[in-house]
Amino acid sequence: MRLVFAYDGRTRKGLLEGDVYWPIMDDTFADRTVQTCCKKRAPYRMHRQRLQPVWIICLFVWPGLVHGQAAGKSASQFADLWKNHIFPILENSCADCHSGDQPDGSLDLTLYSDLQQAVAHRREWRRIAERVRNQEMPPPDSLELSGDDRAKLLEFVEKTLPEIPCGHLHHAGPVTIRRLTRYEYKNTIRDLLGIETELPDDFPKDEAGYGFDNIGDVLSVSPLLLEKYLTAAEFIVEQTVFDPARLRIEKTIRGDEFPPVDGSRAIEFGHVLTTRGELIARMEIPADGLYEIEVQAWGDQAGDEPCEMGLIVGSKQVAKADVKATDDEPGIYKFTRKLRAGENRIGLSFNNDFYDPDDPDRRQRDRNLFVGNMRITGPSKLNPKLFPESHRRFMVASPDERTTPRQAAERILAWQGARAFRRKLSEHESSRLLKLFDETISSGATFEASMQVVLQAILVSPHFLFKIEDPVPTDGTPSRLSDFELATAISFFTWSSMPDDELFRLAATGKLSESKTLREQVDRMLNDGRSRALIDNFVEQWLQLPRLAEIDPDPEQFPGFNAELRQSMIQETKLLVGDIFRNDLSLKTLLTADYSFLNRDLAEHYGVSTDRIPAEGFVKIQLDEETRNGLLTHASFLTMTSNPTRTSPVKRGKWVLENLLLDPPPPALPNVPQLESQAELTGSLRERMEQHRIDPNCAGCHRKMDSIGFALENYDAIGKFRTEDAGLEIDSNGTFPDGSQFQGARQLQQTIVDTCYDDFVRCLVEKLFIYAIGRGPLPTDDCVIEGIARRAVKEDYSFKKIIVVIVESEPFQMRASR
Amino acid sequence: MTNISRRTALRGLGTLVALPWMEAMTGRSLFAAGNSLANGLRHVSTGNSPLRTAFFYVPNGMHMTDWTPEKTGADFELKSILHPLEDFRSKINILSGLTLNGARALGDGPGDHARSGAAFLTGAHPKKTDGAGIHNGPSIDQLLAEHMGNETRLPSLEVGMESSATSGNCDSGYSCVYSSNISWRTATTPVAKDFDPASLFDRLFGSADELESKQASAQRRKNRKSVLDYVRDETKILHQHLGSADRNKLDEYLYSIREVESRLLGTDKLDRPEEDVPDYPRPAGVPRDYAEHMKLLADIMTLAFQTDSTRTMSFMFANEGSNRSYREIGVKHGHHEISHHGNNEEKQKQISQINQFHMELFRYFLDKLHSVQEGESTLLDNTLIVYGSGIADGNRHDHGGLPIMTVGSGGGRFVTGQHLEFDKETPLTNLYMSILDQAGSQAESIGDSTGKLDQVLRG
Repeated sequence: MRLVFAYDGRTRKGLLEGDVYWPIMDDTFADRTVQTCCKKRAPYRMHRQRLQPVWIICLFVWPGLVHGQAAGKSASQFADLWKNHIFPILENSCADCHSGDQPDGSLDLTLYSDLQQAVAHRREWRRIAERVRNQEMPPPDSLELSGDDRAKLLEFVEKTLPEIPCGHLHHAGPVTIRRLTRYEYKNTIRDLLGIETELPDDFPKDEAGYGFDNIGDVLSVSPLLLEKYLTAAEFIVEQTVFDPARLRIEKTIRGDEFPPVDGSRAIEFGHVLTTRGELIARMEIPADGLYEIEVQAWGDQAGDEPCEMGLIVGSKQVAKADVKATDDEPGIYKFTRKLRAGENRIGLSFNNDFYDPDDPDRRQRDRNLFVGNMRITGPSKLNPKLFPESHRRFMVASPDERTTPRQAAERILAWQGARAFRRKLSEHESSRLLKLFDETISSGATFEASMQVVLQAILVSPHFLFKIEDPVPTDGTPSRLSDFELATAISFFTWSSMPDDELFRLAATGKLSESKTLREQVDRMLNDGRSRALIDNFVEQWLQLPRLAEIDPDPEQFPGFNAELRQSMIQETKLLVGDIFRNDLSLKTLLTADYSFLNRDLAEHYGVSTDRIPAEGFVKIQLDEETRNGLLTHASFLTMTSNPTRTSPVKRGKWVLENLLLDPPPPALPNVPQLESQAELTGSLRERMEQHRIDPNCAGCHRKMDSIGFALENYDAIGKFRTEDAGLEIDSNGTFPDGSQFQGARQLQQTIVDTCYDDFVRCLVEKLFIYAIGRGPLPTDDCVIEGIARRAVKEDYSFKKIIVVIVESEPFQMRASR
Repeated sequence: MTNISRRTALRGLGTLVALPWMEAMTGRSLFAAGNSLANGLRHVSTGNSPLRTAFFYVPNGMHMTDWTPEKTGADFELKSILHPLEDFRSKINILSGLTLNGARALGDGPGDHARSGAAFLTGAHPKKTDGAGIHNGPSIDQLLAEHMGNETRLPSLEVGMESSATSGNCDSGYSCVYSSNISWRTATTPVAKDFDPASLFDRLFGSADELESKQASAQRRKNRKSVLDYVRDETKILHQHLGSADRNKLDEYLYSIREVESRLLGTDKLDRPEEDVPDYPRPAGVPRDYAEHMKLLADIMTLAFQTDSTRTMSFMFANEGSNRSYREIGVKHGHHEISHHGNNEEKQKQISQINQFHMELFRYFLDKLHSVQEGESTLLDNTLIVYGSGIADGNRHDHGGLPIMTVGSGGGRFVTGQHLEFDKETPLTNLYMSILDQAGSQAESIGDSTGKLDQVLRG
């Protein structure tokens, strides 16, 4: 079979010659939980699957899938095998319940008469196989499935089906535009403007869907949030761009306010100097710069020269003026001086007193200087060093002799606007933003203040707040992300932030989508410090670490627990995952690590020697103890899944199934009380649970959940090790449905690695996939997720490798309408 | 602080704002008779105070034995959960027998907690989803806000003790959106709650950054307006360009822009001289103590009604399904955990204790409302409060025979002092229909409503 990866190399183009219609189901896979542990119950959702034509892409095949048993068989041979040998078994033994208008568990097997359908929904088939293998299906009171048929069915579904190439379907889906999450917003502001902001606590939290908070369908905008965006933008803008007008002072000192000196006298609104002398005021100057000093003055003119007024700054006269005006029409005398920030001694002097009592003209006998108001305004020219660094970085142009303010604004916008919108701005977009600039500056605001308004508008614009992708053709034709959209998709995946200049540059030249460049870039990004967002954001949500904040263990029973310890617990888990991520370790390490990262508090909590641990901070510690190895012995997980006063084996089991094994147990039947609420945890709970499990309604799900939970019973509700509970010795034995047995956390984790490592990897792949693309998995994703997971198991992929492969996948890079 | 001017006091606390209020917390309201400031407002001339409504939600059901009175009519007795309301006996109604059908499984399996929260004020049957395609229905408070919200600065307030959970699906495949929001503007748009008293205060009365000079804040407002104008135009252009799912997201955004714009205008309109600044300090944030936290929120909610900043609000004592432990009253186990009491008496008692604890805090709110004089009556009388849960017994998750109470006569519009028992399966939404009707709304139905509850109306 030839392998054609069918991109046309450019954006937004139809895909291939020879497009064919192929019917596939258009249901949402997520809704189709197979309710096998709870047989004979109303279907989950009574909707019928519509059959709908969907574009296909010829021969899109994942490399690596055409090996094994499937090799050598042609597509038609597989189809024959299914049609003549396997599907009839289903028709005979299962379709009685699983067909019709309201099929049991919403599973209508008749829709799978065509092998392609089964191929497209492998994940569902994996679940079906598991139920059949565990003898949960068919249920005892229904039709029989002979041992022979069971084996044949399982052989095909478990061994052959996964090897059949994904087939002739495209793997693109719709992604609803995604608003930046709180976390992404904060990071983007940091990378866009170089400002670290802490968003206030009252910033609305993002709602989560499919376990993550970056799902476009779920992220909403409320008036409350918009209000917060507006005020946050104001705050950020003021931090970023410095408006010198904010420093501007306009201080007036009335003449009569100067402290009098010898020969001076305050008069109404003025001051007269009758002899040589200085009137000095002390003034606070906000910043170094040029200031205008205007003085209203006049004189009694006598003698052969006009009054001479000096301007004093500090202790020196720095300028002087001839005051020729008289009290008929006082004059305004202007000085422009450099002043230094801080308290200044500023004043005026009368330099040329003249007195001739003998002059026959009375008005020529005495020369006196009158000072009215002195006004200081400024600063006008600020030292650029006074501007914050973010200002200098953002204002890539400024008005000068050759540049008008408007031209400078255009230049800034061309660069910063493109960074903010993560693509080039259209001419119309620029001019709409520049209109804001024009309006503001023409109302008398400074250049800087006008740019502030532009930036404020950018930060509230939908182009900034949403990751917008061009719409795809409504006929279902898949199209590829543009290079800029791709840059955004990758950077928010790996950094939870905007692309950097290098990505922009590659996107602008159209090189980013070249596979070699893309791979290099993803590698670069994963090795960049910003990729810690994957730990802080993805891992936190995947492992549900924020939930720990809501857990309040009973302080009487667990006096050692406090807010710091809670933080330390979260930190330990993040440090371990971060270590595995950074060092490209096998994912198995997560469950088998014989080391961890502890601080004093946690070491004491675990009963680990604190000898090698510094007073402050975390340190990597080799753990010899049998009792601490792997994620499932972390206090974070163990506490998060406990009740305030005691452990909850069911919650622990459920957590592991949901978050590590992608096997979420369906919810308990209505009106069946949750088992644990029936009794306090005592030594006999296990027995009671085992009795309970005899009820076939509950057995299927609880067998696994309980086994996992009980294997962890050696850890109390805040994760401390214990060997007995309420005086009874703890029995930490467990068995999986496939018969594998284990005792305690270490063996449990080893068993997961040995017997269901593929589930573990698939789970991580799917979670990363959801997080990467920002939507729940669609039926068309099954093949891709399965394919990546299979390769990841086979080749023992690291975290980073999985991320690279997801970025390279079709669902990540392509979009199609519903 | 009588010797210090209020202005000084508030400035010291970092909150000098020209607030649209009266002498807050001292017992007079905008609608108090003879209040000159009230003369300018539309509703007052008729002599009728406008209908104020509030909706209080208790998660995980109620211990019904300690709730439902034996006797019906005016002569009913107060069971232990309701003891804190002894003084208000004549101002409450207990409404027994109402049903929230939308919270039932109706073929969707488990998830009663999420459904109950989401359906409580909508009467809709929320669509089961953990992500895409959230669908519920508009809630009574939002319908009221839509009908009369334009007369106040904020159409409605949504308040709660907790923010929304941010990870995991909250209940058996239902998104956390359902269990953490009772207010829904439309079927697809929940309205997020404010839980921080400081933020709520700022939202109502202006924030710290509006403490600047009048000029600066005028400039700020002018900038905000130009920015909003720009963003609205930009969003409209973008809107035409996108596909339908994306458009829905932008619709939310456009709605928010309009809403915020009208608030900005409202701020202008309601700028009042400084004498009206109340003696109420801006809270510092969220207190750790539950009761303290609730009381602060109750204070501010009272101020919101008193100053006619809004006329409808919703409140959640915790998100539905909350597993909070109430150690302050000696309940160590999680609320949700013990609500599945399996008829264990000890657990039932604890549930009852929690229910009563909420009631005591609710009582605090009633006291506050009651201390505000409005003409001949009090703010409490002029308000109609609905209090209850979407689950009756937490163990059985039943949604019929719900614990529902109303408080206040809504300005003489509703009866009080009754225990009314309705036919089984009477939709809770019929009560809402009566409220909508009294508010003058022309709405024909809400959720599964089949009519009105005439018995609650004063003839």
